[in-house]
Amino acid sequence: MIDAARDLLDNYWVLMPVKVLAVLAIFLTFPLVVGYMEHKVMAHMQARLGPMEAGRFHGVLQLVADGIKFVQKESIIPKAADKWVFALAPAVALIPAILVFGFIPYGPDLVPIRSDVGLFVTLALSSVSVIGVLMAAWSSANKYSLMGGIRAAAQLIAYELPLVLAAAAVAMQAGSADLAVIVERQGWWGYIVGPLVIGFFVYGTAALAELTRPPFDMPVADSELVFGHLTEYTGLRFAFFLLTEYAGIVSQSAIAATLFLGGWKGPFLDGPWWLAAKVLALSFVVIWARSTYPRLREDQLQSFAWLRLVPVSLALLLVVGFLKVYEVGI
Amino acid sequence: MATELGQQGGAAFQAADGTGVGIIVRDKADRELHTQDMTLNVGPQHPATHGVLRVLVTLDGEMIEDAQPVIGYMHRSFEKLAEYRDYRQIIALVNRHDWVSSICNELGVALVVERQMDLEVPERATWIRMLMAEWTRVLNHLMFVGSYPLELGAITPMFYAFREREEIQALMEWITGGRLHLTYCRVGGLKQDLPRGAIQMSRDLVPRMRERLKEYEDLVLGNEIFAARTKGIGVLPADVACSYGVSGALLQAAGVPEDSRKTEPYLFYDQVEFDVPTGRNGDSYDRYATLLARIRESLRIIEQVNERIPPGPVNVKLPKVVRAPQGHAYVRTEAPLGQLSYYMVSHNEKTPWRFKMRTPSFNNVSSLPYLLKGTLLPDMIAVMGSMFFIVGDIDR
Amino acid sequence: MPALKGVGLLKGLGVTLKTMTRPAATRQYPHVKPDLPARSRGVIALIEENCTVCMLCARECPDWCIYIDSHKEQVAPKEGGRARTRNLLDRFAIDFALCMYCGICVEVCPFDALHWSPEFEYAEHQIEKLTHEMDTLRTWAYSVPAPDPLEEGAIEPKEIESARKAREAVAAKAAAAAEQARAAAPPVPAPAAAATQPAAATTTGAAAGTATTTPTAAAPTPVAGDAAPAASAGAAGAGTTTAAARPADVEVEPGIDQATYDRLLAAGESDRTARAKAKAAYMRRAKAEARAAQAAGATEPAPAPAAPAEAAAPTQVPAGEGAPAAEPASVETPAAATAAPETAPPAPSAVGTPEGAEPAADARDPDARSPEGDPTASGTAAEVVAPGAAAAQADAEHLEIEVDQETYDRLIEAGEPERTARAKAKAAYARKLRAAQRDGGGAGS
Repeated sequence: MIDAARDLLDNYWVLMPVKVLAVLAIFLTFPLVVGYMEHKVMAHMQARLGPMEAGRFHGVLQLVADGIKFVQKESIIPKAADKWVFALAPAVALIPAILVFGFIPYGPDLVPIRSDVGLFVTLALSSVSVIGVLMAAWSSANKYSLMGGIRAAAQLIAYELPLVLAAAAVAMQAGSADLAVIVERQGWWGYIVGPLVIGFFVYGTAALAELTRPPFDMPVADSELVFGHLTEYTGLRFAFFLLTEYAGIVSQSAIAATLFLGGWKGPFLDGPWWLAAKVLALSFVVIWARSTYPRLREDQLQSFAWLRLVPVSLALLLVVGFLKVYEVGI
Repeated sequence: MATELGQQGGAAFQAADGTGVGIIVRDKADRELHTQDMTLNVGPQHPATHGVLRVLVTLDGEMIEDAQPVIGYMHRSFEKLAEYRDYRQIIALVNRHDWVSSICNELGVALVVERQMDLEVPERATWIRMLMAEWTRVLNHLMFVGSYPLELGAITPMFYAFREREEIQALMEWITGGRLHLTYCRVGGLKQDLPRGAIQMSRDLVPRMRERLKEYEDLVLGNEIFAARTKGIGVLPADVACSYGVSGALLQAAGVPEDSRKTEPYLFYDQVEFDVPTGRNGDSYDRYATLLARIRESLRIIEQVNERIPPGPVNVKLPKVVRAPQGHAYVRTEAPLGQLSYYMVSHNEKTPWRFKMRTPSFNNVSSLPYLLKGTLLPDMIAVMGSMFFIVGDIDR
Repeated sequence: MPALKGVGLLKGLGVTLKTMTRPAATRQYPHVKPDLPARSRGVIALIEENCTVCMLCARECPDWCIYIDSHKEQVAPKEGGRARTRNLLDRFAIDFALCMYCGICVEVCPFDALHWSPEFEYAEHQIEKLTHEMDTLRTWAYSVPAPDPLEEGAIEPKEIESARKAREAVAAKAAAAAEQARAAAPPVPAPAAAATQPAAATTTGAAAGTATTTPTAAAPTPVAGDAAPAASAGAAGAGTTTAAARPADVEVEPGIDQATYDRLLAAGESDRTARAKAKAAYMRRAKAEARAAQAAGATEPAPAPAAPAEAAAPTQVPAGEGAPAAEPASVETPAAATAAPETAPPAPSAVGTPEGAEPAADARDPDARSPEGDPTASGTAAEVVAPGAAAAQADAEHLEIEVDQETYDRLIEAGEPERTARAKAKAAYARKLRAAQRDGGGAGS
């Protein structure tokens, strides 16, 4: 029976839809879970309860309700907007966010798309979303949106570098850019024991900035730019951007967990659940930071990226290379 | 095309704290590339203007070249309205220009009419007025203690502030029946005495509020990001502040210990001990810190007042129609946002002939163009939030 | 870029994490209703029986959101008296879309027709639906809570004070009368009709006393506090009984009290005012004398039961022509007096009987409105409470205030402006007058 199923799955045309469906399922559940978690965690950190009504039990279906609401809303395109770009932008932001989920190793043999440069593909994909943001910002024909878009672009350039450098340190340590191999070469404690813990913090900070999450949310700063590129969006398109944001949190957490925290490995019972737990824990930290910190200023962020994170990650690369060459094990 | 680290344009490419870096683009003839300024309307509907203040900014990139506050969107002609309202109605009216410090406003009106009528207010009423005014001050300051970090992107302090406010609000609602527009003062005293147990509740609240203030210090004031955003931003030197008629926490943050409660005591402020906190640099950070310190001082006053409310009446028996005798009177009080003055000219009628108000927000906000010139757009939010204004108080 | 030392950042994380582990400060509103204090300004409730269409509320309202329509009605003269006109309320509406909830109308209402109710859930989708007419305003009156007691050191409100004194006086009188009745043989001179009527009247009062648990009964006592039940009982007793005594109105020749007139003129009052006040004073005295004479005669089938009149006495203050409720002079008829407190407790059912309804309706008569055609004039105990309290307050408000010359002179000498001196002197006079009346009332005429 199991053998028969294996044989069946060996067929590409059977396996492919299964993989697509699985990735889509992950994409449609985890961001929602994280979204719900953001509602609740942030609420409790702010001495309130958050959603309590939808879905009877503590508002578990709040995001579903929100989704239904967004579908009902009128989709407004401003008169001066560049209509095609405006309409396409949410898709450009959303699709790469979905694709990233295909490259994550969920278990020993659970890698939907295995690639020997998986690490860089995921990083590249996750930064494509910013193109969508830029498109949205430019096409909205709104000054606030435009400034948000420019900030987003500047932020992306500034933070892609430390992000990639920190990831490169991991790749160097593992001796491979294949995410599955990287996980396999880690202990269940991951790479955070050792010099790569600095890489973890650099990566985490850079990922927060790339996600435009507080304290690096200047591109959407609501009190300055009235939500930047999101200003003119309504209805389903707006919902797509929101979904992109939550999907981004999940995928960045998943990449970080894979690179630094041992992915699906755990002290016992290795499997995807460990990855899920790590993703949720990292998402919690992301939400925690949001509910605690004010945002930095764009120039402060830039100087922080170029003057702090880039040198640190370069130094880290150097240290890891040195240790690797002289075979001082980590 | 040559690039160089920003020397030309000076502050233009430097953040106000001197840490920013920028790049000047030059064309082949080594001229600075000309860019077009962008005019941006911040407001009247904008999340950072909390109300309908409009600031017309001219932007070069994110740098503000010019900023003009445009006021009047919420002009409700209070001064004219007051000429057609009797004194009790004026008290209900002035609740509404600065809607988070209602008791302090109505107190000013009561005082100016009493001064004109030469009326002696019972001691008990005066002490209770002080109690209420100081709690109102705490309420008002908590509002800004919460909303300022919100404008800088920290959402949580707002909720904490409202949690605290709610506890004080419960006391106020119990005493007056209102939540925002309390309408508790009357010419000659108060509307009615406190309900039994109110003083005890006020006693219990003081230590709890003190404890909560520590949370703001940990969460906001001690936060390095907050400091990075506010230190050295929007520096208002003492002399400039004075020339603009700035008052309240803004002036104190600039290092001027001016407070009507000290310099020209009204009620029984001369009988209680408190200090006027001052800042050193007059920047946004100092203004926020001054605000927190002012809450502490108010709690100190409340602590003393709680123990000193004597028994007795809270009202003077007045005729049904109160008429202030011919003449004019002026009273200045320290409202939570700064110096609030009322000037009244009476022609011995039941309404004033002229009722002029000097509200703190108006003067405080008039210093905005000075503060905003040459700052970055995000700093504009950091500066405006630390002006602690209420739009209704600007526009009246 | 200032150094991110990180300590402050971690502390901040600590604060939010600590808060997360604590229970939320919010309450789930539609499931958990807020616990609003008694002074809460939720909605304005109207007890229309108390309204005399004096229009004070509508005039004092800063944004003129109170609409009042009324018509005048001639009231048939009783026992040869002259006919009076009275305002009857046709419409009383408040536009809550305009209302700014300042509470001035509630404050100025001299007859306690307006009250704050803490109810707040009356939002509407259309703004015009926020204009609420009397029937709606009346329903809110049922949720008016008893007021809070005042903080220690507060001055007892005059309504409570007078109610308390009245209560004490009634108790003292009853005790004395019982003593007397036990000592003497019961003469029972009153006819049967007279006997039933005081009983009914007093039962209304007593029922009101016991009915304070119902919201309406608690509603109209303006500043009762923990003394609320007692106060409303006392006030109600006063109200109903004075009303029952009202048919004993007498006609006297109009005249002027020369002494008062001279005094007022000397005090600088205008001739017109002085004359009016002097006349009022004369009429009061004359009527009191006439009534005393009438009661002394006691042969006519006067339904004026003595007991109610007595109960009324403590709160009685010269109310002028405007408030005849308080007019009856105190007359001594011990038998009826004993009857009243004794029959009172077991007889709440008597309220519904025609005999009971009659005086109850009358009770609302003097200041409120005619009993005929008024659907609410069923004479239930709870409703009678209101006019009682109102009358008590009306008495207190409608003092004839003159200038206390001594104070005036003193203040003028002290350099006070003329106006202030006069105001203060008036206040002093009013204080004295009231104190005198209270003492007189408390002593139990």
